[in-house]
Amino acid sequence: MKKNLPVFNFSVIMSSGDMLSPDIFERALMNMPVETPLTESTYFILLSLSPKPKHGYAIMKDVKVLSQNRIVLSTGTLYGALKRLLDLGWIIRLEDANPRGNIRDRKVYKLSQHGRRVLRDEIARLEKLLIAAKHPVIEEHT
Amino acid sequence: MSSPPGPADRIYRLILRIYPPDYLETFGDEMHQTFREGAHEARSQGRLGLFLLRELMDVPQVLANAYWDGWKRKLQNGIQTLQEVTSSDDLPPAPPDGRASWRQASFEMGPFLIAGLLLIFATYLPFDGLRPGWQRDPEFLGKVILPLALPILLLGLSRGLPRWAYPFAGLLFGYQALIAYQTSLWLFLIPMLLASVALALAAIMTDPQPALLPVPLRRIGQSLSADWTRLSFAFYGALPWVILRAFDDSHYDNRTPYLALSVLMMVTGALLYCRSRAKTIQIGALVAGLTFSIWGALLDRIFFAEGLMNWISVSSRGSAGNVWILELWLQWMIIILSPTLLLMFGRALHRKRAM
Repeated sequence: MKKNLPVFNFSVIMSSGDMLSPDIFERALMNMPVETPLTESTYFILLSLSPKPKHGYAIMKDVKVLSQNRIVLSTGTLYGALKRLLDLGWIIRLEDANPRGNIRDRKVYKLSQHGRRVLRDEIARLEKLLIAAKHPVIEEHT
Repeated sequence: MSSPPGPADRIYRLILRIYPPDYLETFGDEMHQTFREGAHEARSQGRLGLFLLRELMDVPQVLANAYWDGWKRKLQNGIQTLQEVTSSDDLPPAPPDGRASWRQASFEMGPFLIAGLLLIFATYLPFDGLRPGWQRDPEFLGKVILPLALPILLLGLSRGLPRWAYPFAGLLFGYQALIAYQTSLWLFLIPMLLASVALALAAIMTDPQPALLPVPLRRIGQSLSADWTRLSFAFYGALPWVILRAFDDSHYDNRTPYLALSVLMMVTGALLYCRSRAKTIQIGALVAGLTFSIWGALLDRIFFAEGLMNWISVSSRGSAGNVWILELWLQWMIIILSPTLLLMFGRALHRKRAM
């Protein structure tokens, strides 16, 4: 009895673009479990990418601002996290359509549909927690 | 940003070179660019030192994660390649084994029967040709075992490594272990074997191409993928050496009936393995064969130490000998069970990943 272990290399699939149709890819992602709650770094990176695609340094600055200077990512940590998110299929790596100055082949990162849903679910989860914290039962005792 | 690269920039470029090549290829330029932008801004704010310190402090952990991820991926790719290779169609189908026929089973357990009979005859019959202490003479044992086992193993390999060939591999492995025991090389033998296997696997995983695996290795892979318990059966093939070792100093003339008991247990274990279909029973038969064979040696020691009570209460030398026998049993138990343990570990990992 042989069992072939599926090995998904999402970063390769995403960067090559034409290996799988978006439908097949999305369906594969649907079945993947999401580890929640997200770490703060992951949450802020996804949040940073939610309005528009950004390059690494912009994400780094956003995370610092969004976390009110609590989380300051180093370059290595940022790219380690981006690689993990690429592997999970939560973000997509693209060529920068508007490169600045003499920077060639600059890459930007964009939330995938799946990543956007993960972020939405996490925000909903946090909102529920906040609502619970403001519940009259709690406020009576605090 | 267009300023010439400073010392910090050069140091960071050096650090980047330590990253795994594929990681560097994908993210190296971007990381360098991001670092330069961060350093530029930190310098303009007068906080360059803090920025560099943070970057440097994170390097060990980030590197460890990058290498671990790379190895994990290569391991997964390597496992997949091995699975594809062992199931490829260009190899002949794996030969049948003794679960279906008594004739085939007796052929497979033949080495144990012959080795057992040789042990009994050499022990009980007063051969003039055998000098005292022959059980510990690696040169003599080598002359007997190598010309017998090696050609048969090679023949088996050329025929797609059927199950009957595995005990011969075990006999040769056991002989190596015996030499290692006696020449204090035991501590090096297992690491050397493991290192060889690890190197072979590493070669496949770093460049997972089926063609890298030579045909004999592919045949072994195919044969083992048909029934992984064969690897345990191969290790069980070393049991005649274990019995020889367990009895070689049990008492001065070594003519003990317990040796025959041990041999009987070994042969019974092999027969049960060959005729069983369930893998649990197969592994259980091998474990039982090993355990009861060792018990024979243990009983022999207890008997010649004038009873269990005396041995426990008086003779520290006797108890040390018994502990040694138990150590021997434990070592070979782990070796025989290692394929099962590896498989269980692999399945647990797979289950965890699937969850």
